[in-house]
Amino acid sequence: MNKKNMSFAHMVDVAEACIEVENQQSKHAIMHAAGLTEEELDTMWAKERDDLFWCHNFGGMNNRAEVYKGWAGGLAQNAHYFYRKLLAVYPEVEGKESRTLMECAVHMLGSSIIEVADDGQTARGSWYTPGVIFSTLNPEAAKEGIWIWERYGNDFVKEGDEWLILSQHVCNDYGGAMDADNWARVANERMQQPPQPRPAPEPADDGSLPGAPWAPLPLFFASYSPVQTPQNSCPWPSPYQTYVREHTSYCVPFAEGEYSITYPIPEVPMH
Amino acid sequence: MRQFTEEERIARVWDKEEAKKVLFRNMYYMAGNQRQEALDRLWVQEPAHTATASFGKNWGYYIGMDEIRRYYVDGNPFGGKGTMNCHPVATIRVEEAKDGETILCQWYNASYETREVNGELTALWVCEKGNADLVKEADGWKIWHYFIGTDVQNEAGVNYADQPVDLPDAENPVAQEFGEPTLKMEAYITRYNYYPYPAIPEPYETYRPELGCGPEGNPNYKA
Amino acid sequence: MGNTTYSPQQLAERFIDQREIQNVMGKYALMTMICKQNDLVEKFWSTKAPQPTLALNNGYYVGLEAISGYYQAVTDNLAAKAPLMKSLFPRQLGEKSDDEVYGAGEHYPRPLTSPLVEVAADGQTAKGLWQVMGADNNITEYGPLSTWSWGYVAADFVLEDDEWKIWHLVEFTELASPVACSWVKGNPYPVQDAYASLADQTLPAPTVKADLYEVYSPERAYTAPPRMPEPYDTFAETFSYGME
Repeated sequence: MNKKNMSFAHMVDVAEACIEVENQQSKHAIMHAAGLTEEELDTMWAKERDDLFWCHNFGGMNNRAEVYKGWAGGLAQNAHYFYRKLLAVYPEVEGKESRTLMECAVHMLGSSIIEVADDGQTARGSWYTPGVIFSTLNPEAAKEGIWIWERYGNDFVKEGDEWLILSQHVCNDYGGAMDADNWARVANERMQQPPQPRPAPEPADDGSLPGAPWAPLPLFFASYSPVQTPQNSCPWPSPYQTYVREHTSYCVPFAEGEYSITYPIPEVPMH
Repeated sequence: MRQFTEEERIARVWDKEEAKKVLFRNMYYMAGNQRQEALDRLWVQEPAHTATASFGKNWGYYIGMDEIRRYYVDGNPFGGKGTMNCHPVATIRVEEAKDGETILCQWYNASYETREVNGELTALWVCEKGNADLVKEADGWKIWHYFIGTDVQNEAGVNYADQPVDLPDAENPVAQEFGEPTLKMEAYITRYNYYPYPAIPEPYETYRPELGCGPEGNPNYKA
Repeated sequence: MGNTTYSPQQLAERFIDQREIQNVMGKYALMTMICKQNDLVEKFWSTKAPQPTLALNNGYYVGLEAISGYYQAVTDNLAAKAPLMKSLFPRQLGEKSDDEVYGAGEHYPRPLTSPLVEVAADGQTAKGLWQVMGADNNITEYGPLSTWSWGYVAADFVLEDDEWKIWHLVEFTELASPVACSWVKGNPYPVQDAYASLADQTLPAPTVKADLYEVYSPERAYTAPPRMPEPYDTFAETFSYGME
């Protein structure tokens, strides 16, 4: 952004865009805490186009249908399974929203970097987000809390007067039990002695199982380990003229930008 | 829908920026243990607002500036050797009323504190959903209602999973510190995780209690 | 001071300035996270403002040479870990060059929150204060360890060739204690023999040593964050985050 090249009207548009983009990302975090992913996609994401994008360490989803299925659908299936298990221990939860009961994923958004396209039609932002995921009631009749540390890279698009999310790049660096796991020590211990595979989950009383991660784009981001070299998976957005999905966006496994990285994407079988 | 001129739009952008700065300054005052200064500079001063000002947490509300001072300043547990606190403001969302008189704010934080619990310096993590209703006074945006929903409090170095599901308030240092509010009530409930009060700030025309974080907007409030 | 009334045009310009300053500090944080410290001065520091400084808890690095020297030493220390890491993790790293191993196991997120930025009425300087929810995840004499690095960052900025550049930077660490431990009780982890040599790594002493900010300990007197920026007209009438 360089104010020297902007008219007053343009600067007002940019200022509003910056405020609204931060507001939307914060609302995303709040809706995520509430577990209301479908509602978020329905109301806060681009409505006039289907080329949405969402990715996490386990892979990416490249259009509206895939994002609903892989992100919202995966969480909802997990939540349903959790709910059935929880109901057996706490009958009081009957009828409550299962996605909220599963967990409250709280994200603190920091280090925001925001750029609005010269044409005023899109904006891009990156954040670093420490987080805490907690749940009070669990099938084990115990609380649970974990720290998580993640990067966000988002594209936003203006539709009418609204700034809406077009893509979200999430990269999890590490996490662990609050306040019991020292992440680097745990990562090292797991390298020295890989943990036993978790036993397959027992079906809930209605036969349901948690969802397996589903993502058509393969794995592209590795969490922290003692042998992992620095990765810049969400390069900051640079000033740009107009949105181009393949270049000035986070809708690709490796977003372009200063200090950006590419490396061969591991071949990981996906469902 | 009301349309604003470009001049009005940039003024409203700065209203929101100034509102955020009030909350950031509040955080730095809190960390600096300058609580009286925060009340004097950042909170409402006009009589129309001071009587209804409120400071709430999970266990109720202090109402009126004198009561808020009784809790926030007179009951301040910080300041001694080895004590400290930091309650950052992150994930902030702000909406200004179309009438330009109020602003609603919501944010999240993960905070740390060190203070005496049962006579011993204790390191605590405290995760909160913060909320504030700001109102425009003659000399700027002021905190009118302030509500902190404590989602998690946990001693540092202790596994949160070891904390009893039904932790009694008597064993919860944050509940203990909140003392005896003016209006004692169940104001924020974390048993089922996310709690929908206070509401997420959304565009609005003019202030109504149910939009904000004062006691009257709480679904459990009884007049 | 600081009572200037601004026209709509000025308000718009000042918003862009404020956003740009947040962008600069966000980039500064990101580069710190990915171990690019030795590029920080060239990218973000003013080359024209008088007496630039970097203030850490223990004093001031004064002048670009001293500041660059500090960041170069940070980078050199990271690079010097490569042979050790290759010997400790031969299967994963043994075949790689030292350059390829640079930064293995090193991750320094610096999420900046609570941004309080004030641009001078004359538009030539600005001041900012942030809270930092930081963590150091790195290879230490205690082995791979995650350590809290919470604290505050504050800065004076100067407009230089239409870009906001850092003039004085303050980075104060309040909480420097291993993750998942009580900071009242201290570090419970022993030095590991295989990593013990890392205790010998040092950084250059500040140009001017001074106890600017004491890291938390149970013995510490109550300590406030750095002073907040207030609205101001010109730099001459406000305080400085540099060495006064």
